[in-house]
Amino acid sequence: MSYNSPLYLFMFLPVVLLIYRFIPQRHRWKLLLMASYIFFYIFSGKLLLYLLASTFSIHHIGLWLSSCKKKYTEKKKTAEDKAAFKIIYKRKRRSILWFGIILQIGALLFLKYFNFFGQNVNHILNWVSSPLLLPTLKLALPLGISFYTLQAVSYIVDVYYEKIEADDNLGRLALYMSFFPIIMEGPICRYSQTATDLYECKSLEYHNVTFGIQRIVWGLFKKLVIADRLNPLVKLVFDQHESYSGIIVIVAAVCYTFQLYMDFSGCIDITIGTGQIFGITIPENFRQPFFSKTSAEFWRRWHITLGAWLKDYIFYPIALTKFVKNLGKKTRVRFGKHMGQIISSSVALFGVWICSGIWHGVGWNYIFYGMYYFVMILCGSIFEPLVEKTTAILHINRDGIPYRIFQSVKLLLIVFIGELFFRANGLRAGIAMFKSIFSGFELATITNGSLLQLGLTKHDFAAVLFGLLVVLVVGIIHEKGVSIREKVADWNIVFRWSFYYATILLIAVLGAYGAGCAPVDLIYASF
Amino acid sequence: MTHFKNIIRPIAFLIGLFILINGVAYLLTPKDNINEGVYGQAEGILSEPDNTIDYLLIGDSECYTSISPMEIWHKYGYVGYNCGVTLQKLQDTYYLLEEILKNQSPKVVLLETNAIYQTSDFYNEFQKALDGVLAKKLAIFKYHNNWKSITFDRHKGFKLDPKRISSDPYKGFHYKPKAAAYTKGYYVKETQETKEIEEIPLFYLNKIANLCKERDIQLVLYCAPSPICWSYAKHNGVAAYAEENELPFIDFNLHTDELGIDWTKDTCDNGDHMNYAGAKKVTKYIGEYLYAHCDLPNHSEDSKYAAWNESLNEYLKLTSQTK
Repeated sequence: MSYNSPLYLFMFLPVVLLIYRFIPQRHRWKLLLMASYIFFYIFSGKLLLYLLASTFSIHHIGLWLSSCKKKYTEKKKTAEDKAAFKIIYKRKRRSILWFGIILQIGALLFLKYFNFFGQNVNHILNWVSSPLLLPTLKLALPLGISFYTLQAVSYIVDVYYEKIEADDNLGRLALYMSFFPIIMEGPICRYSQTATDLYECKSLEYHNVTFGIQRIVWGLFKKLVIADRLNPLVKLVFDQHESYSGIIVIVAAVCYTFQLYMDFSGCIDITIGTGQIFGITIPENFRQPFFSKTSAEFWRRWHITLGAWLKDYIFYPIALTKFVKNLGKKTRVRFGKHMGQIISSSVALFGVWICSGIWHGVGWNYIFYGMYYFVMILCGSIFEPLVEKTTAILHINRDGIPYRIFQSVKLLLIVFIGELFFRANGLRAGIAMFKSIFSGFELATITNGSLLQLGLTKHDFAAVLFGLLVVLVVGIIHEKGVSIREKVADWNIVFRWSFYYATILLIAVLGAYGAGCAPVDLIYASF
Repeated sequence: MTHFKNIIRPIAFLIGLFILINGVAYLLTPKDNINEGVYGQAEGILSEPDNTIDYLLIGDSECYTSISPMEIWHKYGYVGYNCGVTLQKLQDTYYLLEEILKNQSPKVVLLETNAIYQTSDFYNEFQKALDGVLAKKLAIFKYHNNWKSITFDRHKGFKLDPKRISSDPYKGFHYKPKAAAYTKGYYVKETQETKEIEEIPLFYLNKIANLCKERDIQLVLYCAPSPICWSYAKHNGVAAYAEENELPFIDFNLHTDELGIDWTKDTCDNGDHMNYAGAKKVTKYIGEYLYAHCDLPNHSEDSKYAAWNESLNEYLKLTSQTK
């Protein structure tokens, strides 16, 4: 029951909404929690126990941290050696925190990476002719474990740093961890962003319901008209990459990049729209990423909540360690301010990107993907002064349109290459595909009809281009800070309804669904 | 008043939407089987004269690429139609069969079994079953892709592509002359493992079997050669079902040597589907099977079937490039 399915849109969501509307407000959170667990159970069955265990554990750890703090406040006045007492208290709290983090991350690492780790260790053991090998376990992943684990970690870390109070209400915490629109693909929410709204369960408001539905429709447009229509080509070329090279591989990488964006951001639109219907503000996860100028900016606009999580819970904790601080001081003296800063922050940046790569999936290509962006962002920072000088010498206006186009082309190239490795069936396949771009490059591919042998007809390409054009125009308008929904809401009823009808009809006619279509399963749901 | 408006407005909007969607669906619905949607070629059968078909082929793309009814007509004079539809789920296969049986009374139905395992879990299958019901009830679900067949004529305006499927010389078979070799080696690895048939495909498989029983039709299960889609565990699952329900089951994957399948020449897409050369080999076997096990009449001299001989000539001309 993915978010774009008729089962979710025409049965599950309306039934939940209907019951929500007619039950007393104090019981609504129970309904949302029950609906969320049913949703989870549909995908993962008994693996629901993992989610429950994670919820119970963070609830307990939160309260433990809180009681530890209370005890400290009570006893510190009477403590003889206050400094020593404080150190003991700090150590204890830190131990609780690490215990909580290891519990959450450990479950994720074990379920997701044990077999991958085992395979690689076995390669080495085989190589040294060891008779002992690590077993391969049959491990099933609960739905959204990569997402709810990060939410769980953020909760306990925020309690530890006293950004939030530990929640003694298990129901509220359970709902924060499991709310059905976000459990599958995020966004990765913080407790302070959604928990209160979720538990409060506001009454349904006409404005929220209509705006929420409109956001869902927009998500469906991206998913059905573009992402699903591109699927045959992407699947064919990546799954049978040995048969393709040159321009076809380039086209596949470009198509996959757009497919991934439309699929993921479309799903997030449906998620945010669903939240809005219930009066819950779910954080945005995308902000026109393809309008970025650099790789670093791209990642501030793409999967925003993951980037923010990595920044808060990986980058800063590493950057603020004594080792990195000292390294910063030394390198600044040795190499100057700019390079010193880069060298010290690159340690934290490395941590961020290795975590990002590992989080995204099981396989060396994902680790490569993380390292790829680490290198790109690092190079961007290293060469920035040089670029600044060069453009000044050459009198190039860095705010001018030609330079802006150059930056966009450069960024798109970086993104397309990154996504090629990201989607490839393993690192070896990714390297082979990348090499084949050059070895089999023939311009004739564009004109000899080869592109129409990849599962898409001219009509399909036309529908995708039309869809992309619409997304581009909407992106430009959003970039200017204009809310299209607000604007349209001010139109008179004839224009307004015509606009809504046209959008829905476009999806109904141009969408790739029904017999003969093989839509892509929500891509990020498998990460 | 605002509260009242907030109730009336959405209802009015939905009524308008319903009318519009159905209006668009009406424009996209083929009026006499002349569409080119995924159902187009399969639904060519709806244009065949009533009660003229001896046997039917149903299933997904493995079906429409593996057996060519015209080859069987050529040799045995049996009238058959291939109603395979791309990625078709069993529920859609069932609905299509139900539709066809309104006007036809074949003696044999051959169901290609790949669709049985085009499945994931119960809820996904339930979802797909719901899609099937929607496709049956709302024409836009089934025919929305026909916008691709709309052509524009300066004098006549927009119209659906006027190509007549009823005169399809392939009779539903998808002619794929090109070869793209399968090179990953021998794929039949015997196992005792059985891939169970999931609840929803099983439900519709039973419905197909019951429908055939009610109509006194011999249902034959067959599996086209496909290293990409086939597995021994799947074979065991279907074989168990066939045995339990006393249905014949021909798994061509176990007979590729006997058929003389050459994986470098007989597949059009690296082992997923048969090409024309491969299909001829499978068809030859099925023709012999029908001849030996089913009492079907030879219509080749019957004047009522003269159109089939005309189609045969066209078919032979179209396929003469491929030996």
